[in-house]
Amino acid sequence: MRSNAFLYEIGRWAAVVVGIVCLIVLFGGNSVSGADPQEVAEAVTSAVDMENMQLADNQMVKRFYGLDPADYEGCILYYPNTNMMAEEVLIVKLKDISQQQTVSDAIEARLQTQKNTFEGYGVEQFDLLTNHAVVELRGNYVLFVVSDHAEAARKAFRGAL
Amino acid sequence: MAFSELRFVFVFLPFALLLHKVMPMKGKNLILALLSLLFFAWGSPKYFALMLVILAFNYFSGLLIAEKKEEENDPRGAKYALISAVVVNLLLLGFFKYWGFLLENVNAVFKTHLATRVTSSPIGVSFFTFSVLSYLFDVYRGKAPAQRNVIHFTLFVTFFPKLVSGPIVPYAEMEQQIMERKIGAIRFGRGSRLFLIGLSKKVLLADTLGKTFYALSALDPGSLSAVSAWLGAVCYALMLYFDFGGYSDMAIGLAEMFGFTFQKNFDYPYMSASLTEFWRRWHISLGAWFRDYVYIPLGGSRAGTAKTIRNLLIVWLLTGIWHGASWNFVFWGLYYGLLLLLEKFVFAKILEKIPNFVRRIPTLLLVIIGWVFFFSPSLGFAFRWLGSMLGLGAGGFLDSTAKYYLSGCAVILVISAFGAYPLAAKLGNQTLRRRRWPVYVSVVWFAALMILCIAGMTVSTYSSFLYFQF
Repeated sequence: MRSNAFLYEIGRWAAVVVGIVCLIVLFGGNSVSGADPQEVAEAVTSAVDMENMQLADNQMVKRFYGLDPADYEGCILYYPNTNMMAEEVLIVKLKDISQQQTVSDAIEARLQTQKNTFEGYGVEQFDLLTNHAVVELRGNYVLFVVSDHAEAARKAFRGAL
Repeated sequence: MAFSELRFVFVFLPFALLLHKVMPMKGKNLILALLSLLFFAWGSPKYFALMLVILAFNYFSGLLIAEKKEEENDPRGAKYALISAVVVNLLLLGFFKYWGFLLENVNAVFKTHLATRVTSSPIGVSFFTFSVLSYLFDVYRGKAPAQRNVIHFTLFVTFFPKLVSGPIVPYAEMEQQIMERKIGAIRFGRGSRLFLIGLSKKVLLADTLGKTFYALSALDPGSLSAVSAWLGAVCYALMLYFDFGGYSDMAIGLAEMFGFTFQKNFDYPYMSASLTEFWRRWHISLGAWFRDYVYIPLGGSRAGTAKTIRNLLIVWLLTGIWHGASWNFVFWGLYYGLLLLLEKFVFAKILEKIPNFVRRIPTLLLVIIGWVFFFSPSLGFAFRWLGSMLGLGAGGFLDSTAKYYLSGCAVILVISAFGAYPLAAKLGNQTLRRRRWPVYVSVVWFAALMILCIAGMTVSTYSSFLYFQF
């Protein structure tokens, strides 16, 4: 009787290849980074005009996003100097990737609130929030930028991870 | 999805039982395999495709090993097929369980900032990997034929009662039952009774003990009084037993409801008169797996004292690492390795002369000390806790914290301690099986247990099983 060993060998190594593809899909684009949040924030803020923003304390993060910075490995927020501006930078380093959803929801809610605030009278700010807002989820890092230089910030963010 | 969740007890299980019941005999394995995959997908949806790949890889590997041995008479080819399959399975297990631990230590040594957090693992990865390895070894050794039926193979690996936390059933033990098993009302009744007993152990005892333990373990271990530290350790010892023992009862009971017989996983471990005996009674299926697939192949105790010592230390190091990727588990494994060596080679003759009931006391103390390493998040935490147990903590011997928690859990502690010994089950069985008492006494008793468990499940927030993390 002809041996099937060759077929079985092909079958199992095909499974290994598919398995590696599965792992790349699962973890490749979502790999966790050991980068220091402060260093990531420096890289991002150096790509953005920070003139209209100031560093927030934990209370401000809670007020604007409903997030407790203590729940995360790092949470750095720069918020507008006055209520008449919309520029903003948020960098969060998650403790666990399962926190992605919570942070992403909080950012969506904040973005919507800001849009509602400026819609109708703050044309420039509304344009910033609509066309120059970037939300980027990469593994254990989350970036939210509202700025004319949002795309540059995104590149700097990716480079820093 | 844990067995003690309402959606398992009231949705998944009745659905599974109904489908299994209405399906003709020929289709029962298919329906159980599909339900098990559904159960896996429910717990780890993003790893479902990976699970199918793992099944395919091991299915073909088993066939290849058998083909090389039987058809081609090529023992070297069979050995290659076995070793490569074992390596692939261990690499995958290592990726999910040990990658973060490895990088953490690389970072500590080389002051690097490599990513250390690994996302969640597929549910039961340690358990189903060991099941698959038992299959590959059994086929290689000729203890069982390779499984050609994909459905049967899938059922062996993913059978939902044992998928998440065992028992780790060797392939040779389950193979015959997959092909042919008896299903009937008596077995169903026996299985559901065991399931309910396990559920009660988990919901009524383990979760209640857990409240005291978690409250105490949230405090600084160096600030505990001796009584608080001992109370925490004893609560943990009992909680772990009723949690994992209860889970095992539920798993074995569920399997029985579907016609499978699994060996017991716990046999009153806290009544052991030696540590060797303790490990014959605690997590029996894991101990048996290491004995059959590691200790004996390494030569066991038949290759001289030096090799026996080496083999025991290897097995205990692996047992420690299997439980988790952190130094306290490594330490915990070696702690038992060294104590068992001392018991076997140094104190064996002395211990023989001491009556069993006396030997039980130091055995229990050593086991409780071992659990401190097991529950501690770090070695420093464990040693501070042990220091407090010796009265070296800031709380002295007894403080108001100890009195508060002791008075709060005294009743459940006494009930649990009583339940950890066979006398409780013996008395219970004798009472319920008295001839002059009609059968409904037993029915009322178990119905009452069920109601209490449902109440417990409803009011408590979700409480996972401790062994899910492994």
